[in-house]
Amino acid sequence: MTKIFLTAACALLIPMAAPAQTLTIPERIENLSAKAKESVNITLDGPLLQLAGQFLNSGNSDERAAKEIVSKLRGIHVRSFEFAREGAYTDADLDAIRSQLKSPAWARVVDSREDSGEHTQIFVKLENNTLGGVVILSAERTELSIVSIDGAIDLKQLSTLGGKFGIPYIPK
Amino acid sequence: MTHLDDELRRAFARVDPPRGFAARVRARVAASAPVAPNRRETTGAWTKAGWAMAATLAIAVGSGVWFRAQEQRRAQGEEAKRQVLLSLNIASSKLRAIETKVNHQERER
Repeated sequence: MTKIFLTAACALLIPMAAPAQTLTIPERIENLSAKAKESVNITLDGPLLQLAGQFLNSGNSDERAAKEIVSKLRGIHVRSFEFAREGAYTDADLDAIRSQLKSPAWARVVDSREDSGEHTQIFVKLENNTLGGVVILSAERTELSIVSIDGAIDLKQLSTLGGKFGIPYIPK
Repeated sequence: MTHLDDELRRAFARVDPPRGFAARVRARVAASAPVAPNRRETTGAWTKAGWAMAATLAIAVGSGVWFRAQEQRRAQGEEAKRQVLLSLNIASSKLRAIETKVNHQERER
């Protein structure tokens, strides 16, 4: 009886805990697009990712790599803003995101502050001892980028995409 | 010649019809039913043509709807692909930038 009760409790609690592990872009961040000179707003969930995967060409080496990455993902959320002047956003705007990433599921692996005011943070989510998601927060004086990738991801594979799809290759 | 003339005259000689001939003809005409066109055959032919037209129209409309749905799906797929590549571009460039900084800091130490 106790076993049945515990199983039922777990079945109820797991779906309740799941949203806490998936990053939600706060309204405050969404509103920044009105102030931005340029903005990128991408939300790709399961069915759209699968559809995109079908259109990625396996014959092309760049797209094949992207297809392999995408096949294991559940969602991609990107918000990137470029502002005309400094002070268009504050660090407090990012607090709503950082508070979500304080849950035990997430671990901060990189926190880099530059004299120029650039602040980059990388958070990863562990699922069954494997990487189950990554969030990149990159805040510069006039630029702000938030990338959330949900699903099994290989950061090494993701970083090697540099130089492909027209990205300028940055040598180490 | 005279013999031939006599024979012709006999052959074309006016002869009155038998008594009651006109009445019998009128009675026969009145008794026979008028010949009407076969309606069933005509209707059947039109029905077949109607079905053929309806089927052709249905196939044309169906093909149009299917083609439009395929076009929408293709456009949606291409847009999703573009967004995936852009997202991976941004994520990759940020990762490489931080990787470069970390490596640089480690070398300085």
